[in-house]
Amino acid sequence: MNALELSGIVKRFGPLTALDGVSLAVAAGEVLGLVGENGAGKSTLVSVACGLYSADGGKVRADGRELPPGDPRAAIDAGLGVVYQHFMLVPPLTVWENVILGREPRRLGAIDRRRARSQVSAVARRSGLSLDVDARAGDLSVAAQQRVEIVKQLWRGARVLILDEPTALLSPQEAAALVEIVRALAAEGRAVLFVSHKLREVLGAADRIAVIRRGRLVQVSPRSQTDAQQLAEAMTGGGRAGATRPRRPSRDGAVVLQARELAGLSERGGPGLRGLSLHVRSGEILGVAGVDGNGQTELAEVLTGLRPVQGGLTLDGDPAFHGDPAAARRAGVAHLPEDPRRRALCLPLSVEENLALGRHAQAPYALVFLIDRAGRREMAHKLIEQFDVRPPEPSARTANLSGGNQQKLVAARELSGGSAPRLVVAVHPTRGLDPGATRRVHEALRDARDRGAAVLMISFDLDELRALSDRILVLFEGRSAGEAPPDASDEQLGRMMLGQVPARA
Amino acid sequence: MPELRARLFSPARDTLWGAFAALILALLISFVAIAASGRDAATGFADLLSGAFGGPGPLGETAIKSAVLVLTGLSVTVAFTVGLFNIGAEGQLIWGALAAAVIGQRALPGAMALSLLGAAVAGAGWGLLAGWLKVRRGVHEVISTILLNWIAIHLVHGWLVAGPLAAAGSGAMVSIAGTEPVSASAWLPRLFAGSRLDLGFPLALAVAAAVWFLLTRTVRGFEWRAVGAGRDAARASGIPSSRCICEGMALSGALAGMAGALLILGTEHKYPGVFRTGYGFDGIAVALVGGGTALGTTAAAVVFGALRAGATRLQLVGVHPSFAELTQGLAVLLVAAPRIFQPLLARLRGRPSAAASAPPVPTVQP
Repeated sequence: MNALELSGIVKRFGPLTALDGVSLAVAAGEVLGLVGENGAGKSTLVSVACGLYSADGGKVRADGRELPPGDPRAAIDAGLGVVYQHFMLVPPLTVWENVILGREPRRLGAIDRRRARSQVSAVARRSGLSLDVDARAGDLSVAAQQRVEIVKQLWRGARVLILDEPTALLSPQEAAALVEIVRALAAEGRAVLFVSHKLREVLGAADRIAVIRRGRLVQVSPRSQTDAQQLAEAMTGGGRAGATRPRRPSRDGAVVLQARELAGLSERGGPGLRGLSLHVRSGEILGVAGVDGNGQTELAEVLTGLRPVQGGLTLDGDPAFHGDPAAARRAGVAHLPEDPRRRALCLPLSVEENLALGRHAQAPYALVFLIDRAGRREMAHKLIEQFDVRPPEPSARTANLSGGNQQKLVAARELSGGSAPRLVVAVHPTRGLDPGATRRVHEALRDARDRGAAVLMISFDLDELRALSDRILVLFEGRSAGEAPPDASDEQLGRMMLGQVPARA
Repeated sequence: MPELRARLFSPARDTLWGAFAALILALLISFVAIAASGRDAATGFADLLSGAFGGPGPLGETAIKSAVLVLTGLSVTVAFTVGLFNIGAEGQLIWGALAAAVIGQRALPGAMALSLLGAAVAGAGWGLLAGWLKVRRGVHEVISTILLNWIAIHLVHGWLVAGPLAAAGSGAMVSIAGTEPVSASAWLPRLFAGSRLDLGFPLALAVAAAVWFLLTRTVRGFEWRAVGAGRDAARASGIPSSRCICEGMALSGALAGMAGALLILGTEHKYPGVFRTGYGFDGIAVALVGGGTALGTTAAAVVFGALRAGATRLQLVGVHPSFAELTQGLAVLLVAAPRIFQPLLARLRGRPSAAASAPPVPTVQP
């Protein structure tokens, strides 16, 4: 009997069919990988399985019993536990308090603290999850917070665990540790659905791998009968995604960006920047790796004039370029920020207005103090076509575009909207994008490089860093933990990200 | 709060029809309410119409009231454009009115223009204060403008008009006397015989056209809209967002101040001892129904102006003139409520909360 069985699931959102007759089953003791592009229907399927959405057709069964549609409570009672990509922990509470939250064991009307605490630590120990149950959730690393979420589901009696993009925020070492945990959970008889678009990790964790594309199940195959290449083709429906074109040998360009001993606190009082030195040459992409929170955000904000900094920082020899965002822009800094919906786009405004943003006072977007509507429209059509922004409608409301198209819009504006940039600061430029949009953004970054820009790209995705960078610099606690060539292994980079390797030039 | 505000002032395409439908529905409900109270609603509505549009006299009344509402409505709309909810039009209007009364007392050459200008400057100062508090001290504009309203009311009514600026020799009657009268050379000229229609109405329309042009056609207007639509993104793209907010609040105050000047120079001809118009607060309603755009606000102001003018006639069938406020309140409720409850309704219909990607639907189904 299958621990979780989905049969013929259909889910429509208005005219859009998100899931079109998907059937999947996970047996106890098995890890099923579920892969697909963004928008293929992975998250929708998870939401149907755990009762958040009620399907328009099909059935969900747990241990052979049919679950009432759209009833999350029934799904939890039937032993389904979901660990979401974004954790839902209460930072000031301890680990064990977070685990029991909402289902507190009681004694004489009060929370039975002793019993609760010992239950939680027993569950963690039994499944081999190392956790300090008395630590405050807010003090934990991302990986440890994820273990708390897993323990929470186990403590609630989950026999089927659904992990939604579980490795998205983890370093390579942490991801490898998670894969071990997942294998161990299966070994003790639980069923695990491992949802991800990171093929390597899915291949490491899963017994069988299911691929969905545009709401349809296109293949289910045992791990031994597939590989990353074949899965990627199945996900995209042919055409190899992310085809890399041969790297041009990096020219010995002049140093464009020079940073010496940058220092500054972060808002959260965290490391911020503590003596970071780096340089980027014209015609070069410097990849910046590192675990989240080691100074990436601060570095990007400093370079784009959003955050003051101490230390020596020059762009083409000019030390004043980072005084404020307008000055940075004038000096030729293009910015693809971490959170484009907040930092780069005015969502209620139209596509063409957002394409003009930042250059809105110059030709072809403006005539003296008036908006040049014809010039702006013409330029918008050009950029929209070049970057394949959909819908190709300059007057569309930006909020109505999909996330991928919003990101393409930002890339179009920053990289091609005016004179060629001198420095491109790209932060997770393709996070959340499907392979097609990813390819387009990568091409645009390479084009900027080929036209002589210095490109600084911050990313958590080591594959992306390796594919694009001429050099990879690893940030650790606000300074450089050293540099690595683009063919460095996961392990080598991962060690540096955890500060385990002394800096080498 | 910002989300609620954005939803209330949503410049979606549905606004025009939604607002129109809301107005019709509000009038229908008012009609039923009057009929239910045992009065002759049909005659009442006929009186209402003739009181608003029946001849040069009533048309003049409509125009006078509309002109003031156009300016206070635009005041709220301009503040909203830079992302601020200006509750303080009333206070800004009071200072503008006082400035117009004080300057207008002196028979200077160009007295009318000077009075209007002075009123704009006074209102702008009071508005700028709220903007400055916002960008420098992080004081929420809703709080600061409400407080500034009371400060303006008590400073002007409780002290200046009753004390230093009170008309000479008014003695014990101080509380109702007000200031010295405005020199006739500063009065807004009447345009037609048999009507109180003065220069205020064409002036307000010209100002509305200028505001529309500024917001939609100029680089600076674009920067204001960008700041209102996404302050972080605007700042990151090099737009001086703090300066834009201060400028927007100054213009917002200037418009409310000019509204005060229209009242003084057009009808009151002095700053009266008792002067609580409510036009500043009605500006919020006008801007809401107008959907946060200059054109919509102007149209809504004219409708509400007509309602105010016509409502005085309703007294003939025994309906209290506050009837206009009932209809106005209903209209606001009917425009605003669907925008607030739309996401909730969408969720009940089983759609995901990504309502932003859904095509715009008409807000009101009469």
